[in-house]
Amino acid sequence: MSGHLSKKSDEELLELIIKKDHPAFAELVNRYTKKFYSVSYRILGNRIDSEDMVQDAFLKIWDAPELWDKKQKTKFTTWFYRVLINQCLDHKRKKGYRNHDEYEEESTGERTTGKIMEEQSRNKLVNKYILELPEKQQIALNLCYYENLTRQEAGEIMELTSKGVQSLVSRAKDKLKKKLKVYYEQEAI
Amino acid sequence: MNTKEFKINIDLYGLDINKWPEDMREKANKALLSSTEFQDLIEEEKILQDSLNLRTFDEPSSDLENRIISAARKEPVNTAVKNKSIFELISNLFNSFHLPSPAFALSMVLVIGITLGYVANNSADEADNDNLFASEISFYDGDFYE
Repeated sequence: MSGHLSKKSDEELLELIIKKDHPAFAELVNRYTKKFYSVSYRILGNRIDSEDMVQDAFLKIWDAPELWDKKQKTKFTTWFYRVLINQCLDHKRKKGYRNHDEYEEESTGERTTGKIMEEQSRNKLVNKYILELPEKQQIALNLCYYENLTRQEAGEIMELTSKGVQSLVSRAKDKLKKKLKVYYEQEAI
Repeated sequence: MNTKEFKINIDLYGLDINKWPEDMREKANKALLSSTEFQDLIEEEKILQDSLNLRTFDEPSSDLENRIISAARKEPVNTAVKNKSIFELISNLFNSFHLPSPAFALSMVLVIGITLGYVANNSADEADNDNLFASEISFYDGDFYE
């Protein structure tokens, strides 16, 4: 049964989900949970909230699959990226998220030693800097850099032109470069 | 090629100039040799890419898929009623009568007043009963039928 479903396209699975076919839903969940969890995590920066967001988004599909408008011929993944990203951003606003707080101590606290410690510290620092970027710049950077999407694909998700996405990515990178430069200059002193 | 164009090309085609479109490669290499400004752009981009590559994230719980799949099987919970406080329920009840705001406020005061009055009155009665009972005992002075 599941072998048969694994050959179906996302859109074919959605047609079955509209008819309340639970195995089709399970196939879609198994196919994409990890991928979309990482998208959610890159926006929220913590595991529990990211898992909740992915679960809620999938349950939205199960409860109201007709939200995906097949007539518009939007790819499932494009549409689902949009649903999940909006949900994560709403969640962030509602909770008054300041998920980069935990990194603040790291950048001002004692310097760590050793390569692993240094990498961990840099990882946290980059996370902090990215989470401080304006929302749209963050999303554009996540989609183009971490999701490996083209500017055009990211544009479809964000409902922007590819030039618009390019401009957001550029600005995001400029800000990050400036912050990293300041950080490394302070490190060198 | 100026620094702005150079930067855009790094964004579009990556750090390795040999992978840029052929018509741009020669110009880019010339620019790179002509000024340290272009070399700095490459260096900054390298630092950024290294840093972005370091960014990791916590793996999701191993049972996340199963949790989602089994949650879909459950009946949806009517959270609309479940999550409401008593005050929200009362205010919804009043809203259904479409009262203007002053009338609503007055009604709320009345309801709270009546409730408090009722509670206070009941506890006063109970206190009286207790006193009565205590007085009965204190006046009991042996067996009346003796």
